[in-house]
Amino acid sequence: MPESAVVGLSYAVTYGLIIWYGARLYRRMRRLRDRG
Amino acid sequence: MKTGHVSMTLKVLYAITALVVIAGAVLALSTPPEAVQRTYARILHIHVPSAWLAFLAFGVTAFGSVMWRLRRRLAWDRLAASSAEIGVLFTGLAIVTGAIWGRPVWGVFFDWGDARMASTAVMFLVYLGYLALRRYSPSPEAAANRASILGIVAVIQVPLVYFSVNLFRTLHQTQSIRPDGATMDRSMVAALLVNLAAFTLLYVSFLAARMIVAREEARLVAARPVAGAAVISPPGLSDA
Repeated sequence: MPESAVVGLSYAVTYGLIIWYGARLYRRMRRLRDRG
Repeated sequence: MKTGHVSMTLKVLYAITALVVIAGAVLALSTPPEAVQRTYARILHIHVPSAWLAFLAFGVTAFGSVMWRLRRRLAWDRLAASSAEIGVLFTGLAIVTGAIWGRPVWGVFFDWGDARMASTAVMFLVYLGYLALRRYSPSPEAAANRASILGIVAVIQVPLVYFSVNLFRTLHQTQSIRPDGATMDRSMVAALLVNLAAFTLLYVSFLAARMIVAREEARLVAARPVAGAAVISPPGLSDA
């Protein structure tokens, strides 16, 4: 695996998980706001 | 839920966080290749901040746990729980980025014989247990009581993980930034510091949002009617 692909994979995993968790929190906040 | 001033403050925080995170990523990916590890060294700029957030988050969990035991206010418990969840996320990231980095430079994804890797994995499992303990507790107070003990005891792992590379000379290298100076080029140190700031802002943003979610969920649970609450006891039966 080329070096740049390894580095790219680590960055993709990190920022992907951060975006996923942020989006999950945002959805939960919106759902609670709609209910309450 | 208050959406007025809270959401405005959060929006400003999120905007600043997003800008600093993007700046950090650009800086990290434009650092020069390192002499030995070449471009693989760029993984440092996400691996170290992830580990830093794990330490910070579990420290805040311990603080929230102590405050819950002293004051008995569920807001402190929500701080502890929210911080632990974020800590687990970033400990997982530190392990995964370390594994991706370790394979090409050390030849292994993970090694249980390495003090830093093993202690980090144990810390990850203990805090997963902390989250599970909360989930399977019968009431918010029981969850707070049980989890606070673990939250206070488990924080001992933070200095153990940090100093494991000094206590045991195994595969993982020692700290890159020490009190007597850094072992890296100035441009790398600058990129690392920006990413440490970016990840710290991420932590504050996530914690603020997670605590709002926890508070509103607690409010909904408290407002939910209890099964059987409307049943009137037959005459002659006392509550005793």
